[in-house]
Amino acid sequence: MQNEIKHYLDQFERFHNGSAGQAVHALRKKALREFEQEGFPTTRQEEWRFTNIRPLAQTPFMVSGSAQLEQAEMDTFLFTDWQKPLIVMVNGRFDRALSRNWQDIPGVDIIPLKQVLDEDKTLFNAYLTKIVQDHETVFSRLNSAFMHDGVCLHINNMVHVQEEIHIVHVMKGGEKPLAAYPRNLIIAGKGSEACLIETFHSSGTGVTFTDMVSEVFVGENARLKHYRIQNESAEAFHVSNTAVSQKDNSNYKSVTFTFGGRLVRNNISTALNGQGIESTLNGLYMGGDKQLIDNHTFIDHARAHCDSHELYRGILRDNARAVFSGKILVRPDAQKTDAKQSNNCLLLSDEARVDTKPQLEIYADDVKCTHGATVGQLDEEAAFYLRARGIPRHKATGILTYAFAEEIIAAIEVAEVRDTVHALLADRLGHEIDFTEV
Amino acid sequence: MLQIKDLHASIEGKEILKGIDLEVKKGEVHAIMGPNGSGKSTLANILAGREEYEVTSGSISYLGEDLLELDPEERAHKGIFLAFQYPVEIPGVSNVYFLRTALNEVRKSQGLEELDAAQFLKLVRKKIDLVQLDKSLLNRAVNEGFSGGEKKRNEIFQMAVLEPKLAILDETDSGLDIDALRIVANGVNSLKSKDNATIVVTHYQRLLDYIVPDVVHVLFKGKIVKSGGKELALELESKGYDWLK
Ligand SMILES: Nc1ncnc2c1ncn2[C@@H]1O[C@H](COP(=O)(O)OP(=O)(O)OP(=O)(O)O)[C@@H](O)[C@H]1O
Ligand SMILES: [Mg+2]
Repeated sequence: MQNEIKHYLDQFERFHNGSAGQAVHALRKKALREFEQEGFPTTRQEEWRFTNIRPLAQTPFMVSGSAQLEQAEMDTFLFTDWQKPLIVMVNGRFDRALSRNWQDIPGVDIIPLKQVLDEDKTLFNAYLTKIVQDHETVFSRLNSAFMHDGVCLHINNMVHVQEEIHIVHVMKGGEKPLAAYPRNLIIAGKGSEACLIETFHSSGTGVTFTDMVSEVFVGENARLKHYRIQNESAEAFHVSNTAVSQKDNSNYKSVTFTFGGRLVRNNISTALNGQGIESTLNGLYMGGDKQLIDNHTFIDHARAHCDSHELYRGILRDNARAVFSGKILVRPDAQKTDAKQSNNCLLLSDEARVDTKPQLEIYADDVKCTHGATVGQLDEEAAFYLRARGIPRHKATGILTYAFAEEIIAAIEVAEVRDTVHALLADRLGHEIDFTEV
Repeated sequence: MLQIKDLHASIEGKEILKGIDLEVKKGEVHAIMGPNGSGKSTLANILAGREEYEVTSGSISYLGEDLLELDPEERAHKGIFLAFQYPVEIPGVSNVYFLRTALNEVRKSQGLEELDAAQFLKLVRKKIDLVQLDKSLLNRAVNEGFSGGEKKRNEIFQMAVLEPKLAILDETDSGLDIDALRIVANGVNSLKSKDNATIVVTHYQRLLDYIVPDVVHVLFKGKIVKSGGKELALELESKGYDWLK
């Protein structure tokens, strides 16, 4: 592992050369030191037991410089006729030329993170690293060490943002393996409402690594919906670290769709730091070939009268593997907690495999916590029923697979997100089913 | 139309059908009766193409083709329809979507145009009255949470839409109240023609008051031990199966 760590130390010197004067540099150095001490995890560590990241650790990724993207290619990543706010991140950098309709949203400040760091903006400095610090992993530290740009989104108190905000992340590969470290800081002020959609794409070929941190603050009575669709190439490594802090009576809903990527690890942690909070973490993933898709969630019930809901569904084909780990902590003060967790996985081949690990730690007595996990094959009875009515085998498989995912898809409030997920499912199932009519 | 010759079949090494001979001609209605576990559903499922059953010897020819060579979906395309004894619940798939997909697959295989949503709904409205199925069931998931009787009516509704040549009704009358029985029987009768045929598996003579069979067969321990006219059903009703042993 020594060489692997040294590689990042060298990269750090090269990449941040000349920026030592900035206030943020102290944060970066601290994170780098912690990374150096901790090193990359091995499968001997509980949190990484099922996910071997050696192929990632052993690839000498260079921090990507800024990359150019043609408008025509960009258009292929956009929702049809999208006139709402659009932010484009290319290789971890905020691309002002490709972004649009983001500067004049009433009551909303969107600022490229680079500007925040360079100009030392106080509002964001008040939050930067403050939310993720309780949920650090080696990858969030690595992100902090290399943080450079990203999206700062501040929704002012009581503002209801009418239009969904779409952030497109494009990772353009090169001859050498390239890494990007985008960083989001999302602050939903008291009583505000917003919906954020992030999609992840690859451009061209080449091995890439996206190591992302999103710090999300949801103020009192605020409501935030957060959709993410991962659709990078089979050469992409992707680790996302999302840390959420929720205040009294707030509502946060995250839905994470994972379709692309060679190795994807999504860490989501939400701290329910108040009463009357609702938190929903849903996810849908579909893996094929040799993909590895790992979802780790952590819900920290710190105070009383909070509800959390988790529903993850996975579909695996070929030699794909998945991991689901869902930790729920109910602290002594968190009476009247209602926590529900369920994860189900459908294996469409004999070689596919899923490892699931629910972890409930409950230190309060008057609570309701349930969890359930299932792993199963396609329902052959149902498949025969469909075939006996004339529906060919592959289509029957498609329909039943879709039905398995339906509960999560039906709960998507944004038509564009639903259509995209429909299209990706139809594409992965390799046939002509029009799921929009199901 | 259908010729079954010396059919032997087993599941998990256990022989269930032990030499069945049966011929069904166009326009005919055949009833198959017999005690629990005698192999009636096994026969019905083999006709529909269920793969768990292993046909160890014998043959089935349907409209001049070797039926055993065909996949379940191909059999459906060629007009075979099984009304399941236990219709399967499929959460997440709406009844209309399922049925339209099925009908369009059948039409495609016959070189006919697919129906769009509007055309299909028009057809559905006509057929649904035939079995008096509650319209709200159309938009619900296939059989999910349907009552026993609703499931059976849904089977006949599907049959009405798909218009099969050979319909096999596996205990469609079980669990139906007397009104429902009459409705289902009317549905079946109104679909009858000189070109198609029906095999009715039942335990009760009363269904045969409504769907009048040309031939009644008794299946016993994997063999047809007696065939006769519709009086045979009455005889079975009063005497049971013991006298046939
Ligand atoms: N999947 C299976 N595995 C093992 N045995 C089976 C299986 N399916 C059917 N059998 C056995 O085959 C025999 C015939 O079953 P079948 O369902 O054909 O009877 P049936 O005549 O339809 O009875 P019923 O009147 O109760 O519906 C039974 O003994 C049953 O237990
Ligand atoms: Mg039976």
